[in-house]
Amino acid sequence: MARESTKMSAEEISSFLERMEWVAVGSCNEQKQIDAEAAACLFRGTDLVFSIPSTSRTAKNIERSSKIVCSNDVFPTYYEIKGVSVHGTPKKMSETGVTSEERNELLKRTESLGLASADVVYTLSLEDAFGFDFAKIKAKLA
Amino acid sequence: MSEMKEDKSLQEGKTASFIGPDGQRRGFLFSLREDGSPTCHAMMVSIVNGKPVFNTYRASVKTKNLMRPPGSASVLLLNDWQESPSKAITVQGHVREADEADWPDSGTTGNETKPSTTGVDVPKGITKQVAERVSDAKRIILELVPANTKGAE
Repeated sequence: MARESTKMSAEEISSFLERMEWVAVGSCNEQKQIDAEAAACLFRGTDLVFSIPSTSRTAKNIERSSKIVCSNDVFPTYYEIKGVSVHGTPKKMSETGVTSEERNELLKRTESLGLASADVVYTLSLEDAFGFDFAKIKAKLA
Repeated sequence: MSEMKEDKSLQEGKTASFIGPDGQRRGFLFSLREDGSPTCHAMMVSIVNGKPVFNTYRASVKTKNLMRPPGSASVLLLNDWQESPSKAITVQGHVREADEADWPDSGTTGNETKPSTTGVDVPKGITKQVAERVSDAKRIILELVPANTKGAE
């Protein structure tokens, strides 16, 4: 029997990302190992915006033109599990590319989450995004 | 603000200590797509003898990514869904197939009640179904062999 699709629509992915305050960011280093760290984020309609320390491995990997993935999930109960992963090449934002409100919000989230001070901001488009939602499973097991 | 620690010892005993006690964790499993770019699979991960262990469909993209050279994988681990991401640790390494006996729910009948260590209970029917699919080889048990660990202490 074919597995039921749990795939999110584009609208559902956007709705999910609007509620996320952080993402797990994965990038590939020169040794072809994957570096991963958590980063404060916000969503602004078509892009995911996140900030990390410029000294981090992730920042160094991005500077080498590494593609990345940003992901998060929620798990209130088993059949409410949902998650999103966004893939692509991030764009480094200049001082003028991010509003002061966005910078302040990222700073606030970084501090409230206890993450390392972040001084560089990137955006990632949702062109290659995938989301799943277990609530879409009809044949739920007890 | 958490202090980040770089590249701890690769000795397995130390790695196990760094990862913490056996049990379930919230995990973000990273693998490489065929084009070499990273992707991520949010999933529940079990720590068994100090190593991250997980199960997935043998025919899944995830399995194909993990078993394709160079076989790089990383997992970002949190104790549960309430823990701050500042407490996350990352384990880098490569994945290999583990024995069915290494799976914590191996041989389960679905009638056992096991306390959740992540704060979220998995329905017994799911636990039973997974065990059956591991047994008939539709699902595969994989373990991440640590090479590097990094994160908050």
